[in-house]
Amino acid sequence: MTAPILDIDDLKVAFSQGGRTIHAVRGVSLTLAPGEVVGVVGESGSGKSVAMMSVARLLDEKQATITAARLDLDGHPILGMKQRQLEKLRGPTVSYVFQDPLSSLNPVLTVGRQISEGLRRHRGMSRTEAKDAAIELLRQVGIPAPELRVNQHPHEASGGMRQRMMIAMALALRPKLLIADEPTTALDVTVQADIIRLIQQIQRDIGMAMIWVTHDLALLARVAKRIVVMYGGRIVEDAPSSRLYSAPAHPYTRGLLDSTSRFDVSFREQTPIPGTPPDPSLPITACAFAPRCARATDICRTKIPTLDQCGGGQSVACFHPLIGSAS
Amino acid sequence: MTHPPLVEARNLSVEFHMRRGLFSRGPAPVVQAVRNMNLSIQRGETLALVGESGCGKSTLGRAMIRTAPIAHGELIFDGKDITTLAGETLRRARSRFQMIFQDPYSSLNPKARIFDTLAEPLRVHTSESTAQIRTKVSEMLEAVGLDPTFAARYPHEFSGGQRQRIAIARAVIVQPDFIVADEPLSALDVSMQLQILKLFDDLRDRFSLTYLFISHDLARVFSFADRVAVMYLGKLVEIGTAAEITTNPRHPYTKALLAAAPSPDPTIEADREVPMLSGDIPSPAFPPPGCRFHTRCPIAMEMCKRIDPEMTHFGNSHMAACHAAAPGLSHLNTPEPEKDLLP
Repeated sequence: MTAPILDIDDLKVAFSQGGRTIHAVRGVSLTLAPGEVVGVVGESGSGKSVAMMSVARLLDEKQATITAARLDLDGHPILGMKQRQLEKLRGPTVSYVFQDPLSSLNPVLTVGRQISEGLRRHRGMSRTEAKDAAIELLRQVGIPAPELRVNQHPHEASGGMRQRMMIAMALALRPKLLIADEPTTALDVTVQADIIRLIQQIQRDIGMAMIWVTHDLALLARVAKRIVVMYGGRIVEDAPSSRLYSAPAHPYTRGLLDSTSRFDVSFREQTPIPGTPPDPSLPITACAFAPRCARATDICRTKIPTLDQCGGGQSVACFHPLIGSAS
Repeated sequence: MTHPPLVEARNLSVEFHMRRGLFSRGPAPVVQAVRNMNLSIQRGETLALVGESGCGKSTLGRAMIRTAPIAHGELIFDGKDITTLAGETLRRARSRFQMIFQDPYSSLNPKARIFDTLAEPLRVHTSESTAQIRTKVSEMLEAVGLDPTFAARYPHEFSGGQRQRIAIARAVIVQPDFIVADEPLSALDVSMQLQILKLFDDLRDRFSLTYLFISHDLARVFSFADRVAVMYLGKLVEIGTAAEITTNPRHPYTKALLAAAPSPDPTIEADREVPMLSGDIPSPAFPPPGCRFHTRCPIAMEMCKRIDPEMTHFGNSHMAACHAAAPGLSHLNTPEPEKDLLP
């Protein structure tokens, strides 16, 4: 087996905020092979974005405390690394696309300048070489008249165009791993489909590994072969998408699927998950989903279930999974 | 449907005057956010209004309850023209139509206890005693699925879904006839969206409500609505029953909206070819001439660039504005003499 591009073991992230401690990530383990595409799904507060931002240590470490038994990116242990070393990995090894392009693009620099910066620093390109490369990248992400756009500022573009610019920037150095965190959530549905197809196409061309982070299970059906479901700062299910949608093992996954909007099912036939997600400032000493779960028993309210194999390449953290043998 | 509608927009337009740039010449540009809208909603009906950002759906929603300026046209509510209603009469009428917003974090006063948030509209619109108000607030909290003791708490103590329940309680407590709900689900998590949609369903039966339900997510709302209206750049492009819109859409934009929504099923997704709309939505300040959709339309014809299509009937309640979809109009797809051009 080839060495993984990403190897996370027991990642925990806590924020101290006004005297309170927020346990955003409470023990996540995830291994990703080169070229593999994984979807990470969860609701707000599930810890999915925080866990993925830890991969390149993008969190403000004055507030966030990151610990892990292992956090290796392309074989490099990330946690003990100095900022200078980290910067060498950001771009060529790991790159990000976020939901809101305006908060990631620099408003005072031209689009071309922002794309070419990485090319000049990491590839040693000259100013003109980098600008030509930026124009070519803008063309690849479907921006009309790229030779004009390259001299514009982010505010001169529409939302869909800005997201394309950010994708061009993220892909400039052909990263080994791209993390896309809700890359289409801020966009309109008819623009979304276009951007998804663009990212997919580039992923295949470069052969890079990719993580799609989203709250939208329906979107992942289109893009990911493997899906990881997070709840309360932990992974509750990890399964091939061919299994996850047809035979989910965790009651929360089942609940999410049943809540997803779709044209072939009326809302009257759908059953919502009762209750509300867990408060991340409270300690969790049992199954975080137990208060909302119809299958919960005493053990669910006293012990934390571990993520175990349940056959078919599927793992679940549940004392009473919907398939396989209970642990 | 011979009953008069509860709410009716007749040829309604909403305009916003943009500020003129510091060095620009000429008059300040005018954005027609809603243009010549004809729309009626029957009592007890739920009309879903869908479209993408900038299409004017929120503006239309606000105009329908007189909180956006009406530039032209008329707004009829329960048989009365309320287009120009002002002052005390408008204030009194306001208890009959209420609005629910997208973001339950910014729509509740963080410094007010839940009790005061719910009691305020009763104090403004009714002359009920404090005891009566207390009873009503308790009953209303229960009706939206919250514990009556929550009245003593503040908004920050609640999750997004619970806050939206409170916002809904505040709108329904004055027993309005008509509620405009502007993307009331889109700020919520998936598991909460369905809970809150079911609450809207429950309340419309219990309190005989009429909804204008604004959403960008057609898949989420179609089965909840009696009829669906689709907007694009300030204009209605299609309207019909939820079944007509989802099973037999006539307008290419409606078709694109239906096709763009992913299905949570990899086997469906694997075989499906998603029809792509090219480009982004044009700025509402500078809508394209002719059919406003022609710049992104996969089946646009020559005439679409010049002539704005009229709404055409495809059935009793089903209408769409598209040259290509209109029966017997395709012969018009030849170069038109100059005099036939719209200004």
